[in-house]
Amino acid sequence: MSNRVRASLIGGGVMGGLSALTVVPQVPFVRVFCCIWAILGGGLAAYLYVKNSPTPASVGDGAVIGTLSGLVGALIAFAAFLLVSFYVVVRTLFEESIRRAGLKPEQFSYSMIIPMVGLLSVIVQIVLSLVGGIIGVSIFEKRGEGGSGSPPPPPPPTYYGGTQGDYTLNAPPPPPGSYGPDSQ
Amino acid sequence: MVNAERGIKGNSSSIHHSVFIVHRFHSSLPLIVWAMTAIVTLAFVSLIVIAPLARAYGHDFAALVIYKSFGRFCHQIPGRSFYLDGYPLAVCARCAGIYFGFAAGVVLYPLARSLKRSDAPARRWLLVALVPTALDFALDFFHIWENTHLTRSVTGALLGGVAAFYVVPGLLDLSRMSFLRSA
Repeated sequence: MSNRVRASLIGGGVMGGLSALTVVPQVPFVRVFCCIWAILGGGLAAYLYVKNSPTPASVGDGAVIGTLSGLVGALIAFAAFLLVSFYVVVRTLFEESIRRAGLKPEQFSYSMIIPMVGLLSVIVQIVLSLVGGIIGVSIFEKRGEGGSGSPPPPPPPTYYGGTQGDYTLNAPPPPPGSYGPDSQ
Repeated sequence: MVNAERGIKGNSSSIHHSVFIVHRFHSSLPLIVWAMTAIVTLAFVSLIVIAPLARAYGHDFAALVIYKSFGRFCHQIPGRSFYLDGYPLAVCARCAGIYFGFAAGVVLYPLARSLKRSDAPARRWLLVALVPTALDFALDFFHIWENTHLTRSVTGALLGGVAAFYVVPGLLDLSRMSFLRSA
C-alpha cells in the first residue's frame, strides 16, 4: 500500500469516526468542534504523508491527500448518518427539530430529505478536508519549500554509450549546444 | 517524393500547432484554475445566504436541506448567528466570517500574489492569523471577556482570508501536477 493511500485511509478513518459521532444526538462533546474534524482529518493525513515521504511533499500533494481522506471520512460519516437517521434515532426527534424551526413536518418526505442532506454533507466534508490537507502540508513540511514551484533537481549525467555505469570515466566531451552552463 | 515532403511538412506544422495549443493552455492554466476555484467558492458560500432567503420566500424544502447539511459542521445557535430576512444564516457568525473571508481571499488572490507561484506562504502567517480567533474564543470561554457577533466574524474572516492564500497555491500546484502527468 502506498504512503499516500495509507495516510489517506488513517486520516479519513479518524475523521469519519469522529464525524460519525456528531450525528448521534446523545454524544454532545464532539458536536462542539463542528467542522474541525474534517479539517483535522485532512491535516492528520497530510502529517502522516509528510512524515513517511522520502522527498519533500508539495502543497499539491496535500490537496490530493486531503481529498482522498475527505472521501474516505465522508463515506464513513454518510453511512453512519443514514444508519442513525433510519434505524437509531426515532423519527419524532427529526420532526421535532423541524417543528422547532417553525415548519410543518408533514410537508416533507423524510426518506428524501435524509439522503439529500447526507450528499451535501459529503461535498462539504471533502472540501473542508482538502483545505485541511493543503494547510497540513504547509505546516508540517519543513524540508525546504518543496512544491513544484521550487527549482527542479539537477539533471542526471548524460549517458554517451559504453557500458552502463562508466559514463563518468569514458564519456566523450558533450557536443556543443547540449544541456549545460555553456549552452545557449 | 514531393508528396512525402508535403506530408512531412504537414505533420510538422500540425505538431507545431499542437505544441502551441498545449503551451497556450499551460500558460493560461493558473488563471483557469483560479477562476474555477473562485466560482466554486462563491457558489458554496452563497448557500449560507440562500438558506434564510429560501425560508423567507417559502422554499422550505431547499432551506431545510441546506440548514440540516450545514448543521453537521456548525452548532447553528440562533443567538450566535447573523439574520437575513428574519431567519438565521446557515452557519454561526464565526463560521460565516471564516467562509466569507475565505471567499474574499480567493477572489482577491491574484491582486496580492502571482498565479504563477504554486508555493505556499510561510506557515507563521497562518499561525498569526489563528491567534485572534483563538483569543476571541478562549477569552469568552473562560468568561474573561464577552465576545460579540462582530469580533467573532471579523477574527474568523481574517483566518479564512489567510487560509485562502495557502489553499489556492495548493490547487494551482495540483493542476500543474495533473497537467504534467497527462501531457
